[in-house]
Formats: sequence, C-alpha cells, structure tokens
Amino acid sequence: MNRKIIGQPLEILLVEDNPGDVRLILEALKQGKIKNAVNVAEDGEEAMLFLTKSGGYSDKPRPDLVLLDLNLPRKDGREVLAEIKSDPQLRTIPVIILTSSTAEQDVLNTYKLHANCYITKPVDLDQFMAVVKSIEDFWFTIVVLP
Amino acid sequence: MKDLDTRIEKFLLRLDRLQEDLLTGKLEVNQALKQVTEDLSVAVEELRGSEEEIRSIARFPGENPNPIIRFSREGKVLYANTTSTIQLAGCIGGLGTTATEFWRRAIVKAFSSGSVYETELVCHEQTFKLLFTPILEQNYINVYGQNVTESKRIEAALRDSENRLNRAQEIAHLGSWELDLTNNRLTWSDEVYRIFGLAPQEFDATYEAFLEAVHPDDRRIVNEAYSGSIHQKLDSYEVEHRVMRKSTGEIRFVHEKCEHIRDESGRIIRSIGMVHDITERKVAEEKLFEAVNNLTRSNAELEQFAYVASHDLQEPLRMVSSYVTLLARRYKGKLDQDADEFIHYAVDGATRMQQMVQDLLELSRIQTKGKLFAQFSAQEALDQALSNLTLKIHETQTQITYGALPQVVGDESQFVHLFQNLIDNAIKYHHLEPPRILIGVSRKDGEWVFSIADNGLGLDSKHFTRIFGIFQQVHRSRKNAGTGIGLSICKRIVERHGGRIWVESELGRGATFYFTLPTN
Repeated sequence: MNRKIIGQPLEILLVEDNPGDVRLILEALKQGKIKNAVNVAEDGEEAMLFLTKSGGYSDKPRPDLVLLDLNLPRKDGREVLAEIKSDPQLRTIPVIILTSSTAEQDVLNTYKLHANCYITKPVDLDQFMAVVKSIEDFWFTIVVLP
Repeated sequence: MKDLDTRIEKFLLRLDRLQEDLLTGKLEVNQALKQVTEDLSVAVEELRGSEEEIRSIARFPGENPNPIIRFSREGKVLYANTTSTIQLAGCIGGLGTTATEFWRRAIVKAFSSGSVYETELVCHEQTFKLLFTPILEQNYINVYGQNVTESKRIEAALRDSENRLNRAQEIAHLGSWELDLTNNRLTWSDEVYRIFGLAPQEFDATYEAFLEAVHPDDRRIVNEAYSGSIHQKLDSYEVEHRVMRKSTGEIRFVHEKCEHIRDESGRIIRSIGMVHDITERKVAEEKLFEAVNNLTRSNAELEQFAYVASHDLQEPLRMVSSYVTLLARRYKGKLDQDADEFIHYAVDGATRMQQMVQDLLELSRIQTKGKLFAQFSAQEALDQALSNLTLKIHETQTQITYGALPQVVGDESQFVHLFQNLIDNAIKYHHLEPPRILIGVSRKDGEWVFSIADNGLGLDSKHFTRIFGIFQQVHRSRKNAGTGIGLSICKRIVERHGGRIWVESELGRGATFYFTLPTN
C-alpha cells in the first residue's frame, strides 16, 4: 500500500444509483477543504468492476474510501460489501454505508460484514450536507488510513 | 240365610214327626205342645239375631261416606245412600224416578260392555269419579262414587307447574336430566329431547342414546367429564360440547352442568344436570371473534401500509425538498420576483409534507416498532422532553411548572415523545401573553392521571374528540402549522400503555390535556 503523496487528490468511489443523491454528495464534497476525486458507480456490478480494475476499468485508481448505498440494481450493496471485505486486496479500504434505510436489521448485518460505519441519509438538506462533509473530515483528516 | 232355611225345614220335619207321634199316641198333647213351644222360642231367638245381622248389613251402604247409588237397567233410581243424596243432590233425580241423561248413557255403556265403566261428573263445582258396576243377573247397576275435587286440583296444579317449567326450558333452550343411580333410571325433560333433535319423550332416555346424540369428536371428552367427576370424587362438573342432530345432521353447541347427590356414606345416589343450547351465543361469539380478527388484521395492514407509504414517499420527497432548497439558496434574487415567490411556496410545501410524512411514519411505528415495557422515571422522561424543547421554550418565554413525577412502567422513549408533543402543542397554541404550562399528576382508582394545563387559546367542546383523529386541526393557521398527527401519536402511545387521553377546555381559557396510565 502506498501512502498518499501530499497534494494528490483523495480518491472516493461513490456507489449510488440515484443521480439526485450523486449530485447532492458531489455538491457537498465540492464545498469541502480537501481535494478529492469522485468516481461514481451506478450499480453493484459496476462497483466491483471498478474495484477489481476489470472490464474497461483497468486504468482507474484504487479508491481511498467507498461510499456505498445498500439498495442497488443488479448487485446489491450488501453483496458488494461482502465481496470487498472478503477480498484480501480490497478489505483495507474503508467502506461507509450511506443509505436511506433505517432498518435495524440492515445496520446489524452490514456491521457484521465489517462495514466501517453506517450512516442514514438525513432528510434535511443542511444536515445531509453536514454529514457528507463530516465523513470527509473524519476519514481524511482525523483517521490514519492504510 | 241358607242356614235359616235348613232350620225351618228341620223344624217343619219335627212338627211332622210330632203330629205323627200325637196321632199314633206315642206323645201326649201336653208334652207335644211343650216341645213345640220350646222349639219355637229357640227359633224366634235365632230369627231375632239374624234379622239384626241383616239390618246391620243393610245399614252398610248408608253409612258409606262416598256416594253409592243403584239404578235399574232402565235407569230408575232404586237406591241412593245418604251421602249421595247430600253431595249429589239435584244431580241424579229422586228415588223411583228415572235418572238424567248422563246417568242413563253411562248405564247403557256399562251394560253393553258388561264390565265396570268409569267416568266423571261435576256437581255443585265438585268433581266425582263414578264406577258403574253392572250386576247382570239382577238387572241393576251399582254406582260407587268418590269426591276427587281436591286431588284433581292438586293434579292440575302439578301439571300446570310442569307445563310452565317445560315452557321455560323451551324458551331458555335449557333442558334438564336426572339419573337415579339406585335403579339406573335416566329421565330427560322435553327440552333435552328437542335439543337433541328428537320428539319429546320419543323413547326412554338412556346414557347410550345421550352419547349417540353427542358429536362423534366430542364423545370422549363428554364421557371423561362424567366418569372423571366420579373418579375424582367431585360434586359437580361442567362441559361444553357439540350435539349432532341425527335427523338433520345439524350441529348445536351445548353447555352441560351436572351435580352429584350423595347419601350419608358419600355414595352418589343421583346425578342432576342441565343441558343448555348455546348455539346462538356461540355463533355470535364466533362472528365477534372473526370481526375482531379482521379488524386486527386490517389495522395491522393499515399500519404496514402507512409505514411503507411514508417510508417510500420520503425518498422522492427528500429529492424535491433538497433541490428546491438548493434552488432557493443559489437563485434567490437572481431571477425575477415571480420566481422567488414560486420557489418559496415550493420549499414551504415540501417542508410541510416532509414533516407530515415523518409524523405518519412515526405514528405507524408506535405499535409495531415500540420497545418492551420497563420501569422508568416519568420525571426523567419529562426532563428529556423539556430539554428537546429548550430552544422553543426560550424563544416563547414559556413558564413551565411541575411537581415530582412518579416511577412508571412503559416505553420511556414514547413517553418522552408524549410529553414533548403535549408541551409543544401547549406552546404552539398560546395566547397573546407568554405561555404558562402546569404539569401535574395524581393517583386515582389504580391509575396515574397526568395533566398538562396551559393558558392558551383553548378549544370548543365540539372539538374535544376530533382533535385526536388523524389530520385534524382546530387552529389552522400559517403561524402554528402542525401536521395534524401530533395528538394522534399521543393517543396511540397512551392507548398502547392501556391508558386514556382527553382534553378539557373552554374557548379562550386555555386547555388541560389529561392522560392516564395503570399504576401496576
């Protein structure tokens, strides 16, 4: 694993099928202080291709952080999480579940699958923005990543 | 009498012999006369005795306290004893006259059958049983009567009360039975037969006939109920089972209750029981049970629907509200005045709808997503609610007064919510002066009665029930726009805890909300 060189943008893989949410997250990240590059996968299959650098994604960078929605077409977010965490190459990448589900079952199961944290999308715009910014702050300025 | 005849014959024979002896000179006249006189006086004495006997026998029917009458075959009154002349005075006809038609008919009947004919006569409101006994060789008929008025009355009264009992059993569909264990005789009342689909007293009751009437699937439990009560030395037992009517196959539900009666040694000598047809009640109960089931199911479905609807609505709504908010932030004042106004209404509408969807979601979760009940301090729940409302209380300068609240059992987070909603309401609908809220609790009839009183707008009594319904608002104004779900949530929470909630108020004089909670 290479530590990031100062000045290089932080790579984020956003796995989200709702373009409205994609845009909101991008808007929130834009306001942040940290330079970042966001790649978007619209379903679970695309996310796995991106992560394993296969199927036309060979030139894509390894993400520093994955923002993962749970309810996704083709391959579910839960499956993506399970695959990442069972792959020795990928399991060190922090995966943050960002979903609209408040079901306790989802919270429990994703932690069991070694999700790094679970966040419910706030209904209020300002709170939503604040949450995305705090994800960025926490994971890129406070936490030491591998 | 025969005796007398032979004596007379013997006496005449003696006279013949005396005459012969006189003629042949064997006896002197004096001697013969003496002998005859002696014989005669003996005979006279004997005759006297016989006559007395005959007279005594002749008095016998006369002394009978029951009426005795003799008629000729043609209906002429030959004899009537004293009793009959008194008791049947005017009902027969005088001695030697021909009797009335009633008697003549009976006499004809008795003679034509040649045997005793029994009938009844009512005379002077008294009933007589009459036995017409024809004596064919003598060509007359003896009638022996008996006044049966009293026994008839008792019999009628008994029959009457039996009929009443029967009728009562029929109305109540309650039959009774009795088993005499000394002779193993079982009797059923008419209603038992009817319940079993049989004609009353169609055949003699037997335990086998009873078991046969019992629904085949219930025979074992019924049999066990009876024999079990005997083995376990119980004084009574009850059992509910089905009856299958043999003729129609119809199923009836019955409730049976039986009591054993024991002798001094404790041995059961009689079992008395009742059979109550409870089919109508059973059917009604089943209908009610079904209705409750349906209601519970449709309630659960409705809750599920509310949950799914509000949950799924939230997502697109979040998009609408997020983007109109973004629109407002970035483009306010950059377009024209119309655009600003339109955006304002869109933001306002989206925000309110979001609140409604959230409240609806919460309402649907009270029952299904509620926590298990535990003991907690109502005081702490109130403190938490007040802390959640700090900003609002501060802004409106609300004064809140309260005493110590007790330890209670329930869902604490729902209680926080309950207090919060009620206090929030009290603040929201305040009057011109700053809101003052008084929170209290008292204990009454096994319940805690909590009260939240305010000095706000108050409401008219016609709204007292309506306000707890969903989407019902009394004060609909921009300033204090609510979703109309807050009090429905309160009601749901209180009801989940087995309590009641209500409001007392007068328009313009504040309102007091009460809710109860069982103390145990």
